Amino acid sequence: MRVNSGSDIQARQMASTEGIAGTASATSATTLTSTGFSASSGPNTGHIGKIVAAGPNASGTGSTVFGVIVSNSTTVLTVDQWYNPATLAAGTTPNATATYQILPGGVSAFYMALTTNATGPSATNTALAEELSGSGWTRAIATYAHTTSAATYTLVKTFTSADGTPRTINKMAIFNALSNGGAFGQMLFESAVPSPPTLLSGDTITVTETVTI
Amino acid sequence: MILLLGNDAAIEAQPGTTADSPDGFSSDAAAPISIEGPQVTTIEVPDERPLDAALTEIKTIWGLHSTADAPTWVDGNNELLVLAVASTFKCPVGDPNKENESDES
Repeated sequence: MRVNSGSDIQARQMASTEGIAGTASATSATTLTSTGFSASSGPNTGHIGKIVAAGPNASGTGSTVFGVIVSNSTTVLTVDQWYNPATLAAGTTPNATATYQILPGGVSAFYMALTTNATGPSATNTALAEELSGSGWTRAIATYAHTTSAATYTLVKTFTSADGTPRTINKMAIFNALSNGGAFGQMLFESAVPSPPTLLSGDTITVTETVTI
Repeated sequence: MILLLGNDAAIEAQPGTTADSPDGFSSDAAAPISIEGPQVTTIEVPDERPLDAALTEIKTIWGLHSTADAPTWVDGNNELLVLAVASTFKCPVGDPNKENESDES
């Protein structure tokens, strides 16, 4: 089911117009400091869920990366991590005086996560309770597919357990960011897994989320 | 990596989840809803995905997006993946529409 924060994500993706360009005064592995931001006051406010793209400074020095904004003050954007835009692998922290842009719209939601928690999905949930991590279960990028003219798209991810403990997979969820340093991104969908399977080490599960647009 | 698959028997994607554990299951699929005309299924495979896992997911995806046994063609921006998919499905490489556009320029 689409949770309430998912509605916020989709509205931002489809129609948000606000964009900002500027020059950083400092950066770290998860922050970019500058001025003129509209501070977030809770989930889905400020610049949360938007992309900040950072490039070389005025002298041409520094990496070209982007991050998903997970919170912000008037001067500091906090991102889940910096990404290499070509591969979505972790990118190099941008130069301390990097030029940057916050782009209109919102980031895609393609991270799939699993849990053994059996409580039914709820529209008011903002996180996946008891989300699994490690041993093959960590939140990861799903494979996206869409057919022209279709009113649906799919996200598919195969997980292979390397877990010494049998795990019954009861629910999955889709997020717009990595879980990293306590910043878990926003949840778009939370779904129960029908006939929940129990997986032992070496077992695989291919999970499909089919979304009607 | 972007993969394009010619899809002459496109359907609205169907729900489904599978597992190979002893407690595995397959969900009951709804009747497929056809989409008229030749279509293109775009698949975006994360660069981090190993080839064998990518092929497993692509086969799953194809079954969700088409009633045909195989795409009519395959194209994309990663030659290794394109050739692997062509071999798996035994379908030709190259988007015929793209070739037509080249001819006209």
